[in-house]
Amino acid sequence: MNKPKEMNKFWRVGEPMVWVSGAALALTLLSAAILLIVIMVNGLGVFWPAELRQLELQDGSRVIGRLVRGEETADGSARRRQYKIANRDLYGLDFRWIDEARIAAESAPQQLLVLERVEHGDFYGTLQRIDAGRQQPGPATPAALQQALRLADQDLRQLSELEEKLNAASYRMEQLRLKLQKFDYRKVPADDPDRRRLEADSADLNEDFGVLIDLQSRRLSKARLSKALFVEAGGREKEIDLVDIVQAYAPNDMSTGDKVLFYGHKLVELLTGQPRESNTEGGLFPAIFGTVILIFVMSLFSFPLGVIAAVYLREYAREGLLVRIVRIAVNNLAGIPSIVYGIFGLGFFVYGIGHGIDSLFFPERSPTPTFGTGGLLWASLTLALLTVPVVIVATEEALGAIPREMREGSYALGATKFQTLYRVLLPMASPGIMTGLILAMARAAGEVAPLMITGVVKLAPALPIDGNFPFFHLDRKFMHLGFHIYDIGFQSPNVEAAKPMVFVTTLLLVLIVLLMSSVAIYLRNKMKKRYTFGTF
Amino acid sequence: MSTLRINNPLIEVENLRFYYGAARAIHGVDLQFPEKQVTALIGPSGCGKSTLLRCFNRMNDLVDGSRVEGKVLLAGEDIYARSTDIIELRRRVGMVFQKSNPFPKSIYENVIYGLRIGGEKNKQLLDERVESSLKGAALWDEVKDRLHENALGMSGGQMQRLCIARAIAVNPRVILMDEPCSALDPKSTARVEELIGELRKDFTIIIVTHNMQQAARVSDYTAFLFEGNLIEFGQTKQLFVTPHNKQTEDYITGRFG
Repeated sequence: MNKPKEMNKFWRVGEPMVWVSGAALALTLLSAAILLIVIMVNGLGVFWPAELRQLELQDGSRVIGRLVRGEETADGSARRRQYKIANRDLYGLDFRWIDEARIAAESAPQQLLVLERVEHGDFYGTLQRIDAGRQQPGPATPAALQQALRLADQDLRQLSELEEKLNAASYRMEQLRLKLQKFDYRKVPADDPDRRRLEADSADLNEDFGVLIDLQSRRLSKARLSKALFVEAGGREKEIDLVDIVQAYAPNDMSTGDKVLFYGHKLVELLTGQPRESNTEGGLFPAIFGTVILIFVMSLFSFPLGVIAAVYLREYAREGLLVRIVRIAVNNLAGIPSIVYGIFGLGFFVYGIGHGIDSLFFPERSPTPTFGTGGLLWASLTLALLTVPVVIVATEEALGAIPREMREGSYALGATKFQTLYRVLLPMASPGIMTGLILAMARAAGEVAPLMITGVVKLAPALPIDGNFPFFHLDRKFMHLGFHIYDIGFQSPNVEAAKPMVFVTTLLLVLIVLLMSSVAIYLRNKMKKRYTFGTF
Repeated sequence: MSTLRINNPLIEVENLRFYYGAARAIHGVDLQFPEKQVTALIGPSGCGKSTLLRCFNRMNDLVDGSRVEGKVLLAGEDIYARSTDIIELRRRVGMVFQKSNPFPKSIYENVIYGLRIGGEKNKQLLDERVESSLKGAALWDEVKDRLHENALGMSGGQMQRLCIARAIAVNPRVILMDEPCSALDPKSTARVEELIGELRKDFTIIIVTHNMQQAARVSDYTAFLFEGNLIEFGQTKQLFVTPHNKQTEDYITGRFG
């Protein structure tokens, strides 16, 4: 008799509900944590200068490589290991599976070098000789190599200064060319003084440009005189121009402190550097910049638009069938697949408005499009469209949650609807609006599909913001971390080599979203403190 | 059925009928409010006393589907006339609500809200008005050192007095109070009641209250409403001691309501 009663109480009190809800939360957190851990484990280790192993195989050949992973062979009878052996230009492949049974001896000699190169990926091997051009061939010590690399670096810096000048000159030339094209289009006669001046400017620039090019090629060929000779595992020699070496290091000869320093250095390069080797190496700066600026411009459009639309729906529109339909439509907008937005953006913004702008303002450039092709502006607008429902819903809820007394208190003091709105209601709704913006930003940061057809590219020649007037070039194409992940993960010719970068990029994207939402959450909490009742 | 006529009333209500959609909430009320006196509106829940109060500053305009018939004259002018400026009306008829509703701004900004939206920019005048209003609301000594702190950090009683200060800052002729003490503890209630006694020197006050003792304590005149009708109106002393109407007597003696 006692037992059923106790069972009854068990159900009535709702103990199982506590367990079920707790388990559901735990499961959600666990899957998110696993995802993060996988990304972090794979992403954070990429830049650690791990040990280089030298293997002697049973057949007498020698291999230098970095252990990637080990696994059992398919029939389970033996183990095999995967090594990164680099030297893509010599072997054709950077990775190699080796059966453990075939390994006769294993060591980690200190003189083994890793060269990060501008082309063909890493080189693993030993230094044979340094041939620093002008000087006599010196001793082949690591210190001498570093010294020679520093000199080469100076050459490179001079070259990059030249390159900047060249870029500026070519930008000016392009502007002049476009102006001349305009004259052509308007059929301005050849003896028009303005046109003459432009043509003269153009000729001057051309001449300067030729001089610069000349200087650059001379400097480069001089820099290329400095070379070094390296030997790979099998004894083959490879001569490499010092300017082609990004950096050289001997991981087996580094202390833990050195390794940490090296790691930090690589992180800085990742955050500030330009990508190399079809994006599988080097930095991610343009992609980071593109992502942040995209979200920023997107917010600039979607935030005011969403807030104002919600204000109309909640404060001005008369409740009725139409408003209800609009509200349902807005909610459904949030559920449309993002690729559909992308196609809409392409059709409406790019081909519609963009083409319209081109034929109105830049008819002389036709058929080359200026705004009539994907770009930052159109991608931002597409994303704004995609995220505006989130902002509308959040703003409406926030406005609806304000107690009636607040409005009445304001009206009773003789405030108009508008004054009440911007002096009382919007400040009070601001934490809720911020929540909407956070959600919108997070959603926008994760979208790739609509960007792929509205302006993202694998490698953008220039940033959307630079020193050239008018500084903001919203018509330019841009790079994006999300697209970067897709590109190097699935479009790269060397998937195995690109894999670490996929994890690093993913980690970075997650971090950026985290950072941006943290800032927004901080702001929201500050507003919450100010605009809601804390006491009682 | 009003039994009393007032000389020189500030507000006159003539045959006022009020509709929520099709339902009539007030069935033709005639009433006159004396200037610089406190008039209490009493009656059981749903008798229309709050609705009546909200007719005096046209707060009911905010309710969708509401409609007013009849006249409300403020100093001889019909406030439901087409030419009435609602903003101007609400500056002349202030209101204090049941639940205190300070804005999420500083105490200072709360007090001068009405002046700010009226476009007043003179800093000196604003400062003076903050001081005089807070003094008028018996709040100055408590908050003078933290005028620029958030008003939401005050106690409930202080908030309600801040709302009163906010209402008197625009210098209205009439202050409407809709159960101003119903959310306050006895001590705060006593302070607000004391304050009402002070304010009647300068303002005409109409107060809705559920609390019979409060009506008896603070008001000079009392109107008893029941189911949308005015049952009795008279001087408070007379109405509470010798009510003319049986219903009034039943209500104030607590037999119903």
